[in-house]
Parts: sequence; C-alpha cells; structure tokens
Amino acid sequence: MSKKNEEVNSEAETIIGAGVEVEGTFVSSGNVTVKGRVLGSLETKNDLYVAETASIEAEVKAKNAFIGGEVKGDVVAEEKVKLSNSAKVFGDITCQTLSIEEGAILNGKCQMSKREEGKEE
Amino acid sequence: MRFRLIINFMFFYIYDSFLADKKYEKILGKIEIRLTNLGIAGRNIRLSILKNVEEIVKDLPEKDSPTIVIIGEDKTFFKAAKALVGKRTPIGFIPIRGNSIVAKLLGLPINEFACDVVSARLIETINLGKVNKETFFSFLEIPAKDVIITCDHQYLIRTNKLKKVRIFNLGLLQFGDSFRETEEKKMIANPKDKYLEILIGNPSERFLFWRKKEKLDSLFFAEKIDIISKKRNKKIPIIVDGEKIIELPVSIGLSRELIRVVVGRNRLI
Repeated sequence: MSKKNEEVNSEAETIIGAGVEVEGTFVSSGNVTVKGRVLGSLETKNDLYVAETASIEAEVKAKNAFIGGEVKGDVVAEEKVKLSNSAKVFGDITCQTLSIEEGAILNGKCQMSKREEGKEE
Repeated sequence: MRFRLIINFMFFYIYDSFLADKKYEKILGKIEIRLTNLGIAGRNIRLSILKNVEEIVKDLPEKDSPTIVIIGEDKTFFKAAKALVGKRTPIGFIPIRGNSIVAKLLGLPINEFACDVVSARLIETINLGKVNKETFFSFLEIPAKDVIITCDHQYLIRTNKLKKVRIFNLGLLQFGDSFRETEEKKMIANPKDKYLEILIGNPSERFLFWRKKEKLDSLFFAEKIDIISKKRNKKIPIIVDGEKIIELPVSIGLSRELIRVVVGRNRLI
C-alpha cells in the first residue's frame, strides 16, 4: 500500500494483520485494513485498504477499495476502486470510479456502474 | 418553614489488602478526611488473606441501594465488580496507584481526589464479558500459538508467529497492564458497545538494557468468540482479568446482565 493510502487509513477499525489468516465470511460495518491473508469472502460497508503484504482469495465488497496487494476474486465497490503500483488483481472490478497507477496488474473485466442520482427508497 | 432534602446513601469502603502496609497510612488518612468532609463516610472493611473480596461484596446488604467503593488496585476492583453482576448496587473506585488503567478509563483521579467523584455519584451502566460460565470485567489473555479463533460462527482466525491474543470487554488496546501518560492516544475497548475486541500481537519484552516494543498486529470485533486448540488434548491456559486461569476450549461473549459503575466526567467510555 502506498504511503498516501496509509495516511488516509487513520480511521481504520478492523485490522487483519500480516501475522494472521482469516478464513470464512468476514463482514464488517467499519473500515477494514488487510495486511495478512483472507480466504472466503470479505465485505465492509465502509472503506477497504489492502496493503502490499496482503493476499486475498475472496469475493470483495466495499464502499471504496484501495488496493496495494494481491486480490484473487471479484471486487465490487459502491464508489471507488484505486489500484496502487503494487496491486495485483485477478478478477473483475465493478465500481463507479476506477483509478489505476502505473505498474498495477489487472487481469479481469471492468464494469463501471452509473451513479444513481435522485434515487428514491 | 423551609425543608432541606438530605439524601443519605449508604457507602461501604473496601480497602485492598496491600493497604495494610504502613506506607499507605498517610494516603488513607487523607482519603478518610475527604470522605468525612464530603459527608459520604461509611462502613470500612479491610481485606486480608482470610477475607475474600467476592464473598464480602456478595454478602453486603442490597437494601437502600448502597454504594460499594473499592480503595486499592485494578485487580481487586475487577473481582468486586464481577461479584455485583445482576445487582442494582453501584460500584465506585478510589485508585491508589497512579498507573491504573481503570482509573483512566472511568475518569477517576487517584487517592483522595477520587472521593469527589464518588460523592458526585455519576453512574454508567456497562457490560461484562462472559467466558464459559464465568464473567470477566476487563480482558482475557491466551497464547496465540496453537489456537484457532472462530468469530460469530462466520470466520476463523489463525495466527502465525504471534505470541498473544487479548480479548477485551473494557481496557486500553495494548498488552501492557499499566497506563503510561505517553500513551494517551491508545484506542480503548468500550464496554458499552455490543462487541468484544480481539487484539493479536506480541507484548513488549526486555533483554537486559534493551526493551523490545510491543507489536499490535491485528484487531477484530466480534459478539461471539469460540477458541479451540489446534492440537488435541493440549491444555492451553487462559488468564481471566490478569489472574484466574481456565483452560481451552472456551466460548466467549457478553453477559446479559449489566453492572452500574460510578464514573468521573473525564471518562473515556
């Protein structure tokens, strides 16, 4: 993960550190930082930060996803996906805004969903 | 004719056993004077090897909703608080040692200065944790090696090269057992939310003149936690509130019953 991402990361709640492996269905409502290994599925209603040391083999859902590590699986973000130069994504990305730094690897399709304006519940 | 309403609360003061040492005489004298000046002096009970705090607290009368105040250190406060589960009796704390984490979290000054907080009787209702059938106030500590942690029946956590797991109900998210002013910015485990915090990492270590800083690796939030040993028949000890030891497997959650705690205005919870 780039230094810039780490600065943004000050509000992080759940931290999946480099010394742990998580397997199963992980669901959170706060920010999530991944530095270790995740297998299964990973979902948060807030922001997801994937550090350079992270390895994720899971379907990923988040509000915004800032990816600097390896993700094998589809990434669905409500708003933004940002791939830094160390990111490796092997799967499809669905989001409203996509930003890819030079050096990032993306093997998959991208689908840009439209912003729903004036949406009524 | 003017009426003045005077409400007399009953107060029980339980003195920690270490306070029998002569060096605390002066501090205790100041505390007693302050309590008398505030009009909240009550019955004093002194702990000793033969007098167990849990039994004393359980035997105290609940009539007229008395306030039980522990004078001493965090561990004694934890034990007394656990003995009050399910009762309406509030518990207060007059910390004697300056590095008390409970004092910091509950917004209590130390020594005689805490008497004013007891007198103000500002009460917060908080959760206790539950491990198997026992309750815990602050945290559980488990060696991280050879355990598998299951959270909310949804996902497993396996650790690699990390030494300790702490599961918090209330406390500073750290491996040390004392509060240092330099660590003001530490995060806290709040006993008023519905989650327990799981902290995994390495505590600080000392080798002669060199001190290795603690490493906080991971932090999770869960309502229900199950911990088993990776190896069959291997006994792994769990330290409850820094003292009592039970063994795996364990099922951890929040107790349905709450306790009432006297807090200061500067509390962090």
